[in-house]
Amino acid sequence: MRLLGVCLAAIAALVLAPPADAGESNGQPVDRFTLVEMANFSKQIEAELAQRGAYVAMVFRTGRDRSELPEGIRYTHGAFWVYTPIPTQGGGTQYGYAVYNLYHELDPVTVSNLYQDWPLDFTRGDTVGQVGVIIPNAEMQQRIIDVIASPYFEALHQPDYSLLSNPADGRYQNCNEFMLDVVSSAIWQTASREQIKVNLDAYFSASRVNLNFFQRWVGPLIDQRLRLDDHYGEIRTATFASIADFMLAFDLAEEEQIFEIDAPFSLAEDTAYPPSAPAPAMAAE
Amino acid sequence: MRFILISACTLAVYAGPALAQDANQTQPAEQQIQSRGVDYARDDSDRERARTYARETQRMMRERQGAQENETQNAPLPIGETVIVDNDDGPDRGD
Repeated sequence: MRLLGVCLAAIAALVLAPPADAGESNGQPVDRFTLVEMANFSKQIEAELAQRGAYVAMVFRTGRDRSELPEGIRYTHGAFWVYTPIPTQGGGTQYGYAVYNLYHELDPVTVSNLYQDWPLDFTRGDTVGQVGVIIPNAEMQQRIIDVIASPYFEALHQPDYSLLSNPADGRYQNCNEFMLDVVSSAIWQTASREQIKVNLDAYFSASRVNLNFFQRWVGPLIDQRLRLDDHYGEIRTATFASIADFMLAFDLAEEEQIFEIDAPFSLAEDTAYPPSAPAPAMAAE
Repeated sequence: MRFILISACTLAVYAGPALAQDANQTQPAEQQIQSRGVDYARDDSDRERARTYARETQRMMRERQGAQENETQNAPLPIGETVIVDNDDGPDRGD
């Protein structure tokens, strides 16, 4: 009997992919593609943001194949990309983007921290070769950078991590919810997470995540990051789509500034943003 | 029962070599990136560094706003060609 339990646990651990790896760890990068491909893709994203004159953008990637994600969820990690002059060791200056992330730790996995890294670090966690982008309007970019540059940025961080945190509840936070909290702080000019949660409950429509019985009840036993006690009934979390809808609904971003970027080697089968975009050409095997 | 055991073992056998192969394949690419990348000048504190970059961005945005109100609002920004490589000894970050 004990052997059966061990076997079931082993099988479950192997086959039960997290339903939406909304945040990511500070562990080893995924490296699905070659490093050169990832470096080129990171530059492609930077060039697109710079071409559009973006000082601040919200960029999303997926660290898991889309087939493993629940319906409607396209990305598992999001971070702010901030245009800045970067002093280099040779004494020069490199203009580019610094990336502001929330990652969960490896031990314990239920605790997160804020990390600033670079576009290449971001794309090394991408398994599809496609990113989602939201460029807030000029006023919102200014407000967001004001928050990032202030002590509010750290004050908005809730270290208790959950993969599927409820954005209307303050108990846990993942990377997307952290970005949403920063955007909310910029909108309502407050660093109070309590106030932000009240406002988000009223104005933000989170994405519904459909979990089957096994994922909902057995998942948390296997993956400590799946903490669901901040949900009441349906499981709802912040995603690229729900944040994009929120930004559009309250005129915080223009429709043409919400889009996806495909790498030349992209494995993505479709492009959801903008909705009228043609499907990308499949990468050669 | 036997089937479950065999399945778990088979997956483990396949997963092991596959992961090892990936790790080996990335080494030459790592060298290529190092040769075309540029290390950033490291500061003492990650958070202080992050805040410094954000303040620089604040300053640039305000300068641009002050220079011309609307015309350059979405004008392209200059960007370097090189890839910034983190020379920090801290952990890599990924999935």
